[in-house]
Formats: sequence, C-alpha cells, structure tokens
Amino acid sequence: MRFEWFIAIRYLREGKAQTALVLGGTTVGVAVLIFLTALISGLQRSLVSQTLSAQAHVLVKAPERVARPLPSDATTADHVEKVPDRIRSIEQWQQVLKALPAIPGVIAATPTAAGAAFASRGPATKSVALRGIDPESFAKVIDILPRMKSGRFALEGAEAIIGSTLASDLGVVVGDKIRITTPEGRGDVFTVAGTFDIGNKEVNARWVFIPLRSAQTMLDIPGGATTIEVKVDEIFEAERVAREIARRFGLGADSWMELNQQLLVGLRSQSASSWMIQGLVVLAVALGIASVLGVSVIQKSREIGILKATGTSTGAVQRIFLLEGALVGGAGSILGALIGSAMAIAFAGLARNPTGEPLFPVDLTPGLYLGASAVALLTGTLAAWFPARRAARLEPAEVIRYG
Amino acid sequence: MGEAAADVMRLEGITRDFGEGEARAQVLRGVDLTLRRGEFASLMGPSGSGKSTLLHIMGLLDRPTGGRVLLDGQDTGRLDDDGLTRCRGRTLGFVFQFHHLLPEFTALENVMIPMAADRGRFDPSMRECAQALLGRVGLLARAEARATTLSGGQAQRVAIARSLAMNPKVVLADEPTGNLDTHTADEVFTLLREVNQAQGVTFLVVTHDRRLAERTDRIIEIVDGRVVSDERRGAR
Repeated sequence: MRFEWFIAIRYLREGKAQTALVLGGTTVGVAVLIFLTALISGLQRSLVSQTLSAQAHVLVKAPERVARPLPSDATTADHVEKVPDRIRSIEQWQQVLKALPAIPGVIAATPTAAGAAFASRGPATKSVALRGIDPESFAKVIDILPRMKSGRFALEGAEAIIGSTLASDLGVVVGDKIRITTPEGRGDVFTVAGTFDIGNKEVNARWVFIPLRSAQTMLDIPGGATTIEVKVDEIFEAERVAREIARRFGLGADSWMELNQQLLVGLRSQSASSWMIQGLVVLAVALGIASVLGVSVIQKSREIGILKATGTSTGAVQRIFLLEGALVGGAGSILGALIGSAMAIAFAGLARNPTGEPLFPVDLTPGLYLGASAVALLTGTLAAWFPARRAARLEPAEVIRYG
Repeated sequence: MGEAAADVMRLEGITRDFGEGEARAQVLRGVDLTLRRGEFASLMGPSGSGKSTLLHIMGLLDRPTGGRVLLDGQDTGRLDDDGLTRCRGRTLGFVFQFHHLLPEFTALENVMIPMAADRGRFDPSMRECAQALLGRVGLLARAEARATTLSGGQAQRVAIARSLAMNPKVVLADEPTGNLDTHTADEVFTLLREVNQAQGVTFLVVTHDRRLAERTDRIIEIVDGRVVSDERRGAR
C-alpha cells in the first residue's frame, strides 16, 4: 500500500472521536445537498411537466403582420395602428411540417387549425377553443392518451373530443351529439368520441378537438393550419429551437419558456436560493474539516517530527493530511448520499395526490450523486490544505527536542 | 585518502546561533569533530552545553549557522530540504531519549516506517526485514503489539530496531537510556554495543552517565558550545 495512504488511514482509524466528528459533519452536509437538490429539481420538474401537459414546447405560427404606413412628405403618422389579426394560415405549412424534424432537438410536430367557437347542446351554450387536429401526430406532441377519461382519442368524420369539465357543463357523455358554431355563423354537429382530464380546469372547460379538415372548413381557411405544435427532446432547449425555427422559415415561433415567463422567473429564484443554502452548507462542512484537522496537526506535531526525522519528506507529510481530508470527504459523500436519498424517498412517500403521484416528487439522478461526491471530495481536500501545509512545515528538531 | 575514507562524518567549524539581536545566543562556538567508521563514541556535557543542538546538526535535523557537515565526504549544506530528508533517511538512524515511537502503529510497523517512507509504499519484503531487526533486539514476540503497550525498555529496543531499518552508516542516540532504570539501561546499552560490533555501524551516544560513557571507545566532552576534551580509549 502507498506509504501516505497507510499512514492517513491509520490516523483516521485511531483518531476515533475526531474522525467521527468530521465524518458526521460531512455526511450531514452531503445528505442536505442531495435531499435539497433532489426535492427542488423534482418539484421543478413536476411543475414544468404540469405546465407542459397541455402545451406544446414550441408553437409555430404565421409571422406577425406589421403595419407599414406609406411614407408621405406632407404628413407624419402620430401613431401606427396594429393590423387587426384575423385567423391566418401558415403559408406552405405542409413543407414546413416536413422540414421541421431536420432541426436539431425537434422530435415531433403536428398541425393545428385553431379558433374561437361556441359549443351548445339544447339550451346550454359555452364558448370554447376549437382545435382542429390530426389525432395521430398530435398525441406524439402532447401526451394526452394517459389523460383520456372516457372514450378514445381518435376522430373519424364528425367526431369531437372534449374536456371533462365541458362535458359535465353541457351534460354530455361519449356518443352524445353537440353543436359547434363559429362567431361567423358556420356550424356543424359533432358526436362526442371521448373526454379528457388534463389537470387544468381552464383547458378542461374550453378545449374541443375536431378533425383538422372540419376545423379548416369552419374557420374558413381551406387546407390551412394556424399553428404547428412542436415537441423538443430537451425542454429547456425549447427557446433555442424556437429561434432556429423562426430564423429558418421566417415564421413566428414561441417557446413554452416565452409563454410562461413568470413560471420561469419563479423557478430561477427558487434555484438561486437553493444554491445559496447549499453553498453555506458546503462552507460549514469545509470549516469543520479544516478546524478538526488543524487541531489534529497540532496534537500530532511531535509525531510529524518523528516521521520527518525517519525519512518522510515534506511532500509526503502534506499528502498524508490532504488524503485525510479527501478520505473524509469521500466517505462522507457515500454515507451522505445514502442518508440523503433515504430522506428524499421517505419525504416523497409522505403525501400523495389522489392519482397516487407523490405531492413532493424527488429527482435522484446519477448526476446529482456524482456532483455531490465531487463537491465533498473537493471540499475535504481543500479544507485539509492549510492544516497539511502547517504539518509539512514543522521542523523536526524543534518538535522532538523536548519529549 | 585512506584517512578520509575512514571518516564517515566530519564537522568543520560548526557554529549555531539562536535568537536575534540582543537576545542572540551562540550555542555552538566552532566545533570540529570527526567520526570514524565503526566507532562507538559518547558525547558528554552539562545541560545547556549544546550537545543536543550538535546532535541535531549531525543528524541533519537542523542546519548550522556556520561551518560544514560532511557525510561520507559529501557537503550536506548544498542539499535542499528534501535532499536532506532523503540523505537523513538513508544514512542516519536516530534513537531518542523518549523512544518517540508512533503510538498509532505496532512495533513492527514502527520499524517499517523509515523503509516505507523511503520507498513510498509498504511491501512484504519490508515486513521480513523489520521482523529480522526486531529479532535482533529480542522483541520478535511483541512485533504486533501497539507501541503504547510496550514497556520503556521494550520501546527503546524497538526504537533501536527502527534506527537500523535503513542500514545506516551512523546512529545518533540522544540519551537513549536516560529514561530507564539502571538494569534496563545496561541492557539497552549492551544491545547498542552489540549492534556496533556485529554490523560495524558507527554510534554517537549522548549521555550524562559517566559509568556508561566509560564503556565506549571515545569520550567527547563539550562545554559552552566547544569541545573541551576528546579522549580515545584503547583500540576498538
């Protein structure tokens, strides 16, 4: 065994109380790191996935129309009015749809023809968001299949899929017929093929899916699509993908991040405060290791002198104490990871949704363990730096002179 | 040339000052001394005479303020700290007044430490070598005992075995029997003498016990930082 390892391990083993103290401190530190990070990233992930349950990662639409006043010598426009937006189709959307998968990060895309409408059955009328879709590709972009409450997610002919709240508002079940009318007065009758519960009251009360072709007719955009909804592989890359799409096709493209600014700000400040807490924990652990090792160097002055008198080099003495710090950091990261994970899992089991999902989801990833271990190892070694230097600088003659 | 080869250690005009300015104290005031190969010498002197300081300078644990220390003809003043450590580990052995064994380790491990420190690792051949040395000082039976469980005489024997671990040319012993009762002191001293005669290792033993000094080949006396008497006693 390496000389320095042998000595360092023996010192740690024999310095029972001190070792237990620093190891305990490091373990608690790592456990807090693991627990806090797992909880916060779990919560954030669940918040984001909740938000994205009914929302595409990137929404591609026709470019915004900008008013271009004719320049005239005589007059100056005192304000420019925005062009009133009516429902417009994306030009050449079929080509765009075909080209989208070539953009890095895009994994699925589906066309939609969306507009406002009323849904009525007998005397009950509700204003709804009409979405003409292609069910097959739509299900690849938005994970709706597990959220179906009744019926099926398929549209054949004049069929509609509606939110569960709307279904109960109108008092319809699968197989019943509803009438859908646009503000322009075009209307048709659809059979309810299924109902969904997406976990969002607003969406459950307003969304009505009908076949793309029917929607095109009702919204008077024959063959058109108002938006293309895109799914990306890495959700926090959505903004970059959106910019790329906008640049390549000259279309409007909004990422979910842009559409949920407030959520994002919330997530960021949550992360920032969590980082701050973790930084303080790491600092406390480092100070603990440094002070205990510092005391042990003073206690061992004489022995360090003997080691040096018997041929141990200054570098080797320094490495012995650095190793002690690193070993404590390493052992603490293993114990801390175990305790932190146990705490996180126990915490996640405390409270559950009616659906059986944990209220406090935790995110225990290999990266988290690796990160926490690296931090602990580094902290241990760095904290041992000053005590180790002090040990290495001891003059053997001075410490062994008087027993 | 033949004379030079017989000198294993040579001190030339060694001075050593402690403190600065007004508080400056000259502990060694010009010491010239030569140790011959295989010699068994004793160094005597009253407390404060500078004998421990001289021993530390001879042991390369301390650097002199002036003068040169030549080990086997090599000027050690030219070595940096790591060079000194290496040179010390390979050519010198120490026996201290308080045995100074490392309490966390067994008797055997204490003997192995100088070898492992030099090689940078422990290996099985060191164990055999250390066992042989413990056998040499009559303590093989206690090889696996913790240093803290050894009696004073046993600990000093282990310290002697440790001082021999690297096959040194010179062993420097600072009152090796100072802490032992008369009977044990005699035994330990006899052991040193045996090692000296069997292996031809040069010994310099600091002692204030005239009776023990009488048993060595040479008595060097130091007073106030100067050698006042250097008496060779018969042939070795």
